[in-house]
Amino acid sequence: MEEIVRILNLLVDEGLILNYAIGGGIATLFYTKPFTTVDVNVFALLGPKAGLVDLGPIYARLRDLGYREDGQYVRIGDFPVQLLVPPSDLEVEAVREADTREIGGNQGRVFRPEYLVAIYLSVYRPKDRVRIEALLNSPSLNHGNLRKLIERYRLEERWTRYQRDMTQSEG
Amino acid sequence: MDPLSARHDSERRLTGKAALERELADLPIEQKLKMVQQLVKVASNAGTLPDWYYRLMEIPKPENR
Repeated sequence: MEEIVRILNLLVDEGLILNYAIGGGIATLFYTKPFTTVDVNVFALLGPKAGLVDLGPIYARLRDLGYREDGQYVRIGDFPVQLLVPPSDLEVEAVREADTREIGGNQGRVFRPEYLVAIYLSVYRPKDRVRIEALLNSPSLNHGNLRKLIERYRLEERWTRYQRDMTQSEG
Repeated sequence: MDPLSARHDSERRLTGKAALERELADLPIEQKLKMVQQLVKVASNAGTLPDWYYRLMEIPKPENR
């Protein structure tokens, strides 16, 4: 993972990425017990050298650095990495507000737990429900900030649905 | 804490599961990543991961058991 963070910071230094944050399962792992997750999702705000939405120059640079790719995945160290342009304002804000964490001696950016829950609510696949539950039990999660995100991104219906689903699965 | 989270919390305290989960959640990220890699290796050996994973990591995909 330290190699991934080192390379991401290099892409920032080179102007290909303005800012980035690790999201998805690996980011969730910072706040929960370990669970199976295969790839590392990196949300990147692209720099002027890359263009606003074109990940091509970044993949080209990673090839120059000797990294293998298969479709949308690049192997960096022991992990498949998927680079993503934030699909909505929620993910853009999650990148901007990401937490800085030390990962193997490097400073890496990781989504905060409130943003992870909000994103999981917006996507709401079966595995997202499990991850939401794990994050809600984390002392790192600020419930007030989560509520504000739910309101600001109009996720109240999903939140109600999640609460109903959890009640039914327990009953 | 909202009522749902509070209920989960109290149930987990009763079972003692919460303490174990908290202990695991509090491990350093490097240690958790090693555990994740072990879990992925089990899934990989069982042949249950997507094809791109085996191609990218350059490992043969076992027959799905």
